[in-house]
Amino acid sequence: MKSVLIIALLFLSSLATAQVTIGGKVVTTSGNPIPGVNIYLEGTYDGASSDSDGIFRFSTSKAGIQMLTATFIGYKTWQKEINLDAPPANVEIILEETINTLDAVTITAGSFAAADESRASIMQPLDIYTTASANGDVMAAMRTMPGTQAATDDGRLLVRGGDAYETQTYIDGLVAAKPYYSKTPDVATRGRFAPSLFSGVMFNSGGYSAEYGQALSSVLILNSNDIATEDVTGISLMSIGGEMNQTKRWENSSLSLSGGYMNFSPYQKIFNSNINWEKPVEAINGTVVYRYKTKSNGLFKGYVTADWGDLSYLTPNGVNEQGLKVSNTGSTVYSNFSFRDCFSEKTCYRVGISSTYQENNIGLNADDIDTKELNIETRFAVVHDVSDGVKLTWGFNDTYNKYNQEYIDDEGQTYSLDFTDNLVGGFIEGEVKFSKNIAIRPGLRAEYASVINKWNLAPRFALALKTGEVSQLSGAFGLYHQTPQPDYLKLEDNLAFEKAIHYVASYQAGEVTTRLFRAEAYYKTYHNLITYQFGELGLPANLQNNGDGYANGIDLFWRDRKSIKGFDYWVTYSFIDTKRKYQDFPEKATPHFISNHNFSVVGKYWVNKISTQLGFAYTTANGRPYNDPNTKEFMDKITNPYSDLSLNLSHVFYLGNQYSVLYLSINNVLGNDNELTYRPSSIADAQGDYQLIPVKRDLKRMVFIGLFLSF
Amino acid sequence: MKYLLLSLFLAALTSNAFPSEYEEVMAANIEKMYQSTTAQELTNLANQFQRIANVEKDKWEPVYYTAYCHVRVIFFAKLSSKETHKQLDQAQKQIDALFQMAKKEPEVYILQALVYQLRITDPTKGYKYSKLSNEALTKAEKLDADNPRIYYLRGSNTFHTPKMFGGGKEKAKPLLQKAADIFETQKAVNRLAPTWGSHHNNELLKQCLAEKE
Repeated sequence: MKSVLIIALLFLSSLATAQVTIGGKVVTTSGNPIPGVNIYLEGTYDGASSDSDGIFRFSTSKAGIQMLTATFIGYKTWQKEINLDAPPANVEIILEETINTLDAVTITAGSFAAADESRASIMQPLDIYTTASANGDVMAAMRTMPGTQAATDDGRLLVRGGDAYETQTYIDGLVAAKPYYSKTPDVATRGRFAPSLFSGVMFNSGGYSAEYGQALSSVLILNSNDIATEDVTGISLMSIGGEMNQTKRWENSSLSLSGGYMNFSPYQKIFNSNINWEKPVEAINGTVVYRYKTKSNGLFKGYVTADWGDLSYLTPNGVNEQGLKVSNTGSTVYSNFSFRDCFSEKTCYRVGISSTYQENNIGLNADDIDTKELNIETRFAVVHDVSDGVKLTWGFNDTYNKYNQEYIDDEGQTYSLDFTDNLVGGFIEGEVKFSKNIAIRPGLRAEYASVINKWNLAPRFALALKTGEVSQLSGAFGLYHQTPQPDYLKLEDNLAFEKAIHYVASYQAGEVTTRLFRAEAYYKTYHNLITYQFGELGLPANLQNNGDGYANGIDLFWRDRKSIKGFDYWVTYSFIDTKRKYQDFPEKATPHFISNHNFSVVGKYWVNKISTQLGFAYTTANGRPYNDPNTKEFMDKITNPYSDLSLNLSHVFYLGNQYSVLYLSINNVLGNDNELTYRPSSIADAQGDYQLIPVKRDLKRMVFIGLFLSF
Repeated sequence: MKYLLLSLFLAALTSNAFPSEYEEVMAANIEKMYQSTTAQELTNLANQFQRIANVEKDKWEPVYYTAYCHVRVIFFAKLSSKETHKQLDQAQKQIDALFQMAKKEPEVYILQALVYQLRITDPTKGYKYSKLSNEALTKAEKLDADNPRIYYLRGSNTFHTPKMFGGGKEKAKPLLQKAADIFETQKAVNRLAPTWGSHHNNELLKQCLAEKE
């Protein structure tokens, strides 16, 4: 009995340790060995990792049919049933790459991003602050990007031959109808939104996605920050005013309040202004930002900002000594509420509503123009991850526009102009990655504008081809529509959409953190642009969609942060050839805001010892065409070339556990007396000649000092 | 008597009163991990922990050590910044899973803080990731103020932050000292609990002390 038991026990224990050995090799589809692959029997601890030759071997005490599994990051999971009672001598495992990996191809044609984690990134969010010529304006920083015009008398983004109205700004996927402060004659404007609110900026200069409509030339996409990381109090003291902000962070939410006051009077006292200011710019603004994260990781973002501004100045009109008195008082309230969450792991959605309300009063001598505009947009979009490498996005938007303008002339006569528009849009877009190296993005957008009672259909297509580890080719094609501007719709609604067709080809090599090169060529045609002649009261008359035009050019971008330690610079060159017939142009001509050659260099050098960054920005552009009504030819005169050197210095120091910055910048250090363009007097003199009035920058040299404290 | 012994022996094979296979295997691999100094050994161990995690779906430790092995590779292999981030992406994937299964475990937040700190591959990333790391450590402190790794990581980040940005050895010293004191006196709660950090903490503390003289 005893011996039987012992034998039985020995038998049992030997059974328990009956080992089967499994071995083999792991290779890619092209036959290269993959090291580090995890090969194991499903539901057991038993397994091994492949070595540098892709070879693996392990033993197991399991028996029968088992599932052999191999997993490795960036590859699809491999599985096969094996019978351990008759183990295969050698298992060959071929792993297939997954398509959606971080280093997969991305469509980049026409998009220039300033974001942390984007392949299209050529800038980083902080660059907007530290670019010498930008003075903390997102739009001005984007003007150092290829494809834009230097035109500093405007201040808005002028992209690839397009007028300022052809660029649309989006915040968190919702339109920002008034991204700039009001533009008055001869004085440049700037962007309304503080760069500190955004962690990502995507500047699309052509060929953009079907998600965006109502922009003929360009879309600027601003993505706001998520929940604030901690409590902060900030005080900014600037030579143009002051600002205060307070941020409070809770477990799942954060709230920031800020307010500012600006007054340019001291500048006009110290510096010689080219403009005869009667009342230099005075403005106040207030902003509330709220963030809330739900339990399911959904994020609610709320942003409301309001501002009020007032200014008046005298500008020569070539008629009398006093000149033209321009005054502007305006207030704007912008709000943006968005929510994003997922229905399931594969399906996510975004929903939001934004609104802009603006009351603007412009005075031209004794005439008064009061404009009230309301813009409300609601948007809904869904993103499906259909399968590995296939994504489908679709959505709708409704944009309501109500416009009312009262023109009160010097005799007290009032003319009222208004219109209401409901724009309904829908889009569907697929993104298909055939492999890690080839991607296409076909899309279709449709819109209906009630004011003109017209439909449009816009197909878009983009593709990208990876040519190396960090290089790729990209191309895009698309139709783009835009409802005519309010200035025309208030007079005439029997109009059609203005239209542009884009073709973009792009090559990119390198990485933004080291060295990056981008070259883009584009060809664009314009159709149905609004044309008119000046009629009664100097208002446009005979409005038609009779204009057309073209723009083609090459944009080059080079950034290098590696060659010299601590030194980071980028160089941009843009060549453009463009002509169009629009507005009151008698014939096709190059518009007055176009320089054929634009060149800029932006450099930054960090001096560790004094924790200070020194920066410069140099921009030069050849002369711009302007019209001299004293000659028969239209737009045949050219201004002198433009150039500007701006310098800045940011000294970083520490208060408590927060960074503070002392900032100094000087624009146009060399004091070039740039005559940007010429404006003819409205009335001819006794000899029948029109006087040409040069338009210059407000201040020849602009010095800005700011102390930004946070604690 | 012999039957009794035999039945005891058989009982031991299946009983939970004795260390389970899970605990045995984990403890052995954890010990191996602390002795491993090559990327290959650590990757193999990460795979081993991953295999255990696949089976023991209700235990957070195997997932934790999978992530930590991926992180530990960075200490021993010479990686480019791109490779470092790739390695950290792998760890992050595990940490994201940990947040789902062990929300109340301070070690998870501490590991998250370590991953954030290692993402500072150049000075421009310092601001963002220092903030995120501090946020994670604050959460860990709320869950367990006596965990030495909280003060070790705070001290280490302060140590590597330039003086003008509020860092420096002088400011790091009390934090590292506090960590060292706890490391010395505290006993591990169980044999699977993380114990890393004391060696590097002492190294940094030594440098801080040398500075003064």
